[in-house]
Amino acid sequence: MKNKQTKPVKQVIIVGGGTAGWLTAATLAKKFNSSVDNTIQVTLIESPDIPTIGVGEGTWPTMRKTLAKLGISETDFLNRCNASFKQGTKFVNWKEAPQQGNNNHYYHLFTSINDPLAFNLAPYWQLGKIGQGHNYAETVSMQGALCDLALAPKAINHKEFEGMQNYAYHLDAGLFTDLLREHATENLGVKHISANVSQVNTDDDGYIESVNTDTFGIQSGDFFVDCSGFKSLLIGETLGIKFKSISDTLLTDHAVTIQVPYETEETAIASCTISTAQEAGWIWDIGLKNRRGTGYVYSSAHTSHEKAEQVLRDYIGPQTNKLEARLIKMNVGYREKFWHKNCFAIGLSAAFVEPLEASAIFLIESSANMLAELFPYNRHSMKVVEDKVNKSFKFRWDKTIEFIKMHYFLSNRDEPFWRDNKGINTVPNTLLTSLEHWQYQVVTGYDFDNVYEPFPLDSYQYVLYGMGFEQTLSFNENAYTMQDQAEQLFCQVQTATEHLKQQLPSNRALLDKIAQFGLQKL
Amino acid sequence: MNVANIQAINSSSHGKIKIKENPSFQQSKDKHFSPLVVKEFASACQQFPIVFIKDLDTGQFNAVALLGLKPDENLFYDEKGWQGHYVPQALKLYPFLVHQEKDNNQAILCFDESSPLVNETEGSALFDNKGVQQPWLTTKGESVVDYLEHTQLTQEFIKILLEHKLLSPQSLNIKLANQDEYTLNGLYVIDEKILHELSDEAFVSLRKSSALAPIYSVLISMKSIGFLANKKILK
Repeated sequence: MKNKQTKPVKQVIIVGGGTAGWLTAATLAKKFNSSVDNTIQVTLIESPDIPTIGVGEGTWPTMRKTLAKLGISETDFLNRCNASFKQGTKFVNWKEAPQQGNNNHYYHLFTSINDPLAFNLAPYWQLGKIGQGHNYAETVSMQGALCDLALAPKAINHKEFEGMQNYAYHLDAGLFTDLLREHATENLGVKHISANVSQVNTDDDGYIESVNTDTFGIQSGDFFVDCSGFKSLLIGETLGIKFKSISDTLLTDHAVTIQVPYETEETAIASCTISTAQEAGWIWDIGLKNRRGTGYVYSSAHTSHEKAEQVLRDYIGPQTNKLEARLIKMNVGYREKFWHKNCFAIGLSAAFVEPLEASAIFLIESSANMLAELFPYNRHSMKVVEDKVNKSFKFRWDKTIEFIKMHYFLSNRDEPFWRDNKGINTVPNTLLTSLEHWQYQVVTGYDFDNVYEPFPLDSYQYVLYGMGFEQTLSFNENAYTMQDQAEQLFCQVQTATEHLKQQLPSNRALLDKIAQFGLQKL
Repeated sequence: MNVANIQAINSSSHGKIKIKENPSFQQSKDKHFSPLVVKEFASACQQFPIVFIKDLDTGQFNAVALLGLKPDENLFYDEKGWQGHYVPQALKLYPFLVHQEKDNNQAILCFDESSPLVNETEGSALFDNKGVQQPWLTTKGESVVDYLEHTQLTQEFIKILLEHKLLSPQSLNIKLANQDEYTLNGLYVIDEKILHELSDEAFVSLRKSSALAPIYSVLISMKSIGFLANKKILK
């Protein structure tokens, strides 16, 4: 009998569908070339009865590369998933509560005029040497102006996945799953089993060896991916890996969601995710092609479910009367290990934090990519990969939590929820240390010394300055001598902004043209 | 540049209209390309580079003859007459075009009412004094409808090129004696290397779609870039 440690992995079983299951299935099958014989095979077991979470409609710009790599056409994706272009997030009333009915907002954008790692414009703006009278985003980026006007990041004559500005997507999660399932099974060689898993079987060494299904018998595998959502059927229930709650750091624990139709067929489609701060949380507002997706993410310790639903309905306005709300309880936190023996958890089974920066789908992409690249040959080689992956993802989730926390910590709002969310004992030390350092010093590349940093330098600057972070650079003011270069770049931002405003179509106009003509591949 | 005003031709609005003769194809004076249909490729390729450009409104590719090496430059235009032996059909049909009704397949003959060729004194009348369409206009209408069919065949040809990934973007670096070097962008050409690397199966399917002759016409036409350069130097 072959040694179980050295038997090569031939069969991967993914338990659970949804975005996590199907994106992982497609990524692995593409990497393994599963549609050909004598390759590692991927089987996905998806319950016909258990619904997906039904939300999760924002991505990062990495999704363009992901779709292209999987061989999915951007035209097909946009048309099939009612998708739209996302150019950043608009944070409304996060800096402070509305004053006399006037909202405040700032943008966290995807495109700046240059890479701050090469030459950082922030100190020049901070010291008033450029962009006087303009906020940080306006000084370094054209994209805020495009978002103000609901313009698209590209035009019909740009090829697939290419644009004048960096962009991500808003998408219909259910339709995205359908598209991925179809592509994975028809083109990439993924085997699809529609059945419920009734039992998970482990061997004497504690590795998963098979699952029992209600209609398809026993399915054996060498490696298992847990995409069963909050249930965590494999990593949690079977292998007993504990869930570490972070409710002591981020306080929201529920979301009530409502899908909202557009008033007319000509209503503008927003260019960014809108996040509007509320008394006990915040409301997301995502504009797809055919409807909006909204949700109030809140803390049940600071408001009641009834009140929360009312806040969301007030936000939506009069048309809310005919619309149904759905309540979701969020398990906020992450597994103590994401990978244990021959099982890797991806998606909600692994971790979840409030979707303030749309990190969930990005971390699914990252998990699937890391698994595909480091895919272990046999059980023996799994140990090394297990350690690498656990370390990497713990770091990524901690950084994500820290970045989200920064939005709360820098806010001037003082309702009880906000005061509690700013409490020093809820803030990770790493964040406190960074902020203390940045009070008198510019953010630099040295603050991002880990290759797995989820958020780049510029993201921190958009949020820091947008939230009104007090930074004093005057002690080193004379060190910033590249005034000409800074002015030139600021000038470019202003000219390019006017040019792009003329050139670029509205989101709706472009999406209509794409439905009619498609985007060229070249 | 005046904005086109496309109107369906009818005897009540246009009973007195005459169309001036246009032997020099004056509307092409500042155009560096002209639309081309597949039927014309064999004749056109000896004189013009045949390239493909994107329509800015739809992102779709069109086949065109390059008439100049710089935007707004037509090296064949001259008041005294076209400086070449082939004139693209599209230039001859101006100011007429056809509007196709989506629902009932009817083709409606239209013209650009803002064209300087449209007037009431000079040239050929559209209608006689009883309001009946003149025979020449009927013949012109048939040519325009025929051209529209060939435009559709050209789109099918382009679709075949795209399916086989035969188009590639190509920028032209123009360096002429005593002039600054510059680059002409936004052009797409048939990639000969990709054509030669096609599988036997793919190549046979091109033959069966009658695509080979136009493909080779396009490849041959690349030599005409030199022809245009000479014209430019001599101007």
